[in-house]
Amino acid sequence: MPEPVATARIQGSSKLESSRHADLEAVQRCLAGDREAFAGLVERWQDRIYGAIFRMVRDPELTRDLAQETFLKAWSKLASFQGGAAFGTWLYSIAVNQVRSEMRKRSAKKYGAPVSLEALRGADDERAFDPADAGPGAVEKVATQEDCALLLAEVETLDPDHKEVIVLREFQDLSYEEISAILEVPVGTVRSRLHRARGELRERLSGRVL
Amino acid sequence: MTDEFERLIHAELDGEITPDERARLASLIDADPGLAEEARAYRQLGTILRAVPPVAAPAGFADSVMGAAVMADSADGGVAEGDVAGRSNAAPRFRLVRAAPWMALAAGLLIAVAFATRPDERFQSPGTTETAAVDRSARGDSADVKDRAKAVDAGLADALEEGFEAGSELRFRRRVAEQDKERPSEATADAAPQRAATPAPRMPAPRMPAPRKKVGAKDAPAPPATAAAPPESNSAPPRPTPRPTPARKPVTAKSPGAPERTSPPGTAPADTSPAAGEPSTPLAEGDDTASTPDFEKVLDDDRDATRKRGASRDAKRRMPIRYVVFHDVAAAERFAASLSAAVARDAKGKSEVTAERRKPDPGGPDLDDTDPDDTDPDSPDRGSADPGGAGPGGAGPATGGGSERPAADPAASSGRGLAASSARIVARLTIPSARPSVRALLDVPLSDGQWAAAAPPEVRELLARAAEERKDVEDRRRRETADADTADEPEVESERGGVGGGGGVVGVGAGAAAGAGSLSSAAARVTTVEIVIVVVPPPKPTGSKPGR
Repeated sequence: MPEPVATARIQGSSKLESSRHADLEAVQRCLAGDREAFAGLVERWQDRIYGAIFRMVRDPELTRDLAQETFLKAWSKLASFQGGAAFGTWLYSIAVNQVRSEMRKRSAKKYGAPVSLEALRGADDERAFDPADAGPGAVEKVATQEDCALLLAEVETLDPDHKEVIVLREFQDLSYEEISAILEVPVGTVRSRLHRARGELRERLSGRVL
Repeated sequence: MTDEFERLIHAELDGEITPDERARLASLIDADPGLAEEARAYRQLGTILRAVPPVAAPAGFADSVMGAAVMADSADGGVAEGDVAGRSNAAPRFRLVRAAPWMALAAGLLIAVAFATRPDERFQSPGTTETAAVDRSARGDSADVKDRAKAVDAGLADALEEGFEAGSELRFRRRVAEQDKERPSEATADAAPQRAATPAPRMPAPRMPAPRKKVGAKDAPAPPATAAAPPESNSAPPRPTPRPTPARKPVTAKSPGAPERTSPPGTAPADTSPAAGEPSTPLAEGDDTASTPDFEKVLDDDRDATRKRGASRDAKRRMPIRYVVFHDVAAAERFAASLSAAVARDAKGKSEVTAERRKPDPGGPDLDDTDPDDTDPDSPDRGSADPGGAGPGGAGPATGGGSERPAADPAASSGRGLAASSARIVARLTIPSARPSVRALLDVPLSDGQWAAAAPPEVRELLARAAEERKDVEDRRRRETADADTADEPEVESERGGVGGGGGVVGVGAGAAAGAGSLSSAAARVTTVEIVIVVVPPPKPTGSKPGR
């Protein structure tokens, strides 16, 4: 039985680790005054950071702001980066803190606005709707996108702690250890949060999608 | 059993399930159809989660980040390359930037509330706060400095701009009220040594808005033909580039503030330009040529009225008076309105200005009418302009009440040929001195140098010429003082404080700094200040051209 999921997880995590040395080298160059090196770091990490924030806040404008602030904070705090953790982990932790800070400001109201399917399609990778993808699985894929809209709407309503682990684990392919380092909680806590989040999603989507 | 199922199914979703765990999970599912349904739902959820497409950063995002980083470095100002730690607080907070106007508004409200609610302890009770005020000035109270800077930016600059742009040559004649001259030694004796020992609080050069209409140096008005000219009998050297003032039409209601004049080719057009709209009398600070007899008469009258009021009121509240001299009524009124508006802005709309506008006497000459033919030196316009209304605070006669005093013949006394009878007070504004706009009036040292730093270029040129002319006038005055025929002159000089500064006239020549300090101290002692806006007609050409 093929295990595409496990393969993706491993590849994702290894990708994170594989860039560690390159990141450290770029950080050293940044500290030496090489601004272009930081530009390279931004290029390397912008999609992941932007995507993670977007999955948490689902507001493109806010996502842009928070992502930009994440990188600017990294730029200003680069000297404090010790290299003990991967640069990506450090960057994710900044992003998560940015989102948390923003959520605290908006704690009185529901986080984010409802997103229509069209908006989701517009915001997400349009390759999912590329006619060139039409083939044996095309119909199933489109159906999956509609399911995704429902799923993301339910993710939106999750408890912030659960949402964080779902996003980092399911959408960002980070390992438990990396999530543990980012969220600064034990691995067991990450695991339990993730299990509860999945169970909650399963219950909410039961009878509609599942 | 359910816990085991949960652990195994999540391990499968995470891709971390071992073959043994997989077999165990299969056995659990086979044994319980409910678990089989749960397993199917979890697997479907996993499928949907994996199907969620990734989100890419928008195009140009990295560039915008780098641009913001560069901005942060620039804002940090001089952080060395590589000193990343030095940029710790330099990253701009874009959403904070969006909130900055609200923060500024909130700060402004707080300041306004603080000013409105704080007891004016700094400006009360001369005997108890004067020393403290001086001490505060000596150590450069930062709050005062900020207040002044804000005042210049927010209020006075606008008002002055109005004056400049109206084509009026604006001149401040700042004079501490009679109490500063006649004040018994009780306050002066206490404060003077401290003032002498402590530097006068100097206002940073006020940032004047650039005039809307630029007038180059070539377009600047020529030196006055008559204002600074010595009497014919005087053997002073001729004035450089004398220019006869062309005849002026009576001012219509359409253009009350800009009497039409024929401008020589190359000069700016009339109406709004200081170079063209006025008769080119550089009323620089301390330029005694601008201390026209009619203006001095107004000052004398005003002083008399102040003295009367002072006996009952100002003894306990030393109210300084600032004279702002205009040539143009409309400009003066605009200045008054601007100053009132500036104070209102300071007070957040709270009405704190006691204004007494002097309307022209219907029977008197038109103040705007500067036609020499219509200016009758004997016309009792100043007295009639003041109906004897209540002064600021409702006490005492108005300033122009010295009309019974015979007007000196300006032409006879100075030979400048000014229309003595048409000088008048346009408005008196009694304003709380704590307001930044007024603090600016009180605290800005109006020496020529200060004005030169603040004024538009064309005004600076005027001031420079005025300084030269003042020097000539000083020389002439000295000669006149030495002359036995000018017996009255020492008294006048003493009362005015002299041309070279000192005395009550502030901002005159070398006495500006000391005067500014004195005014600042005066501002710290009082709760209100009177701004007397005076209009003096521009000098008219006399029959004899000086220097010819």
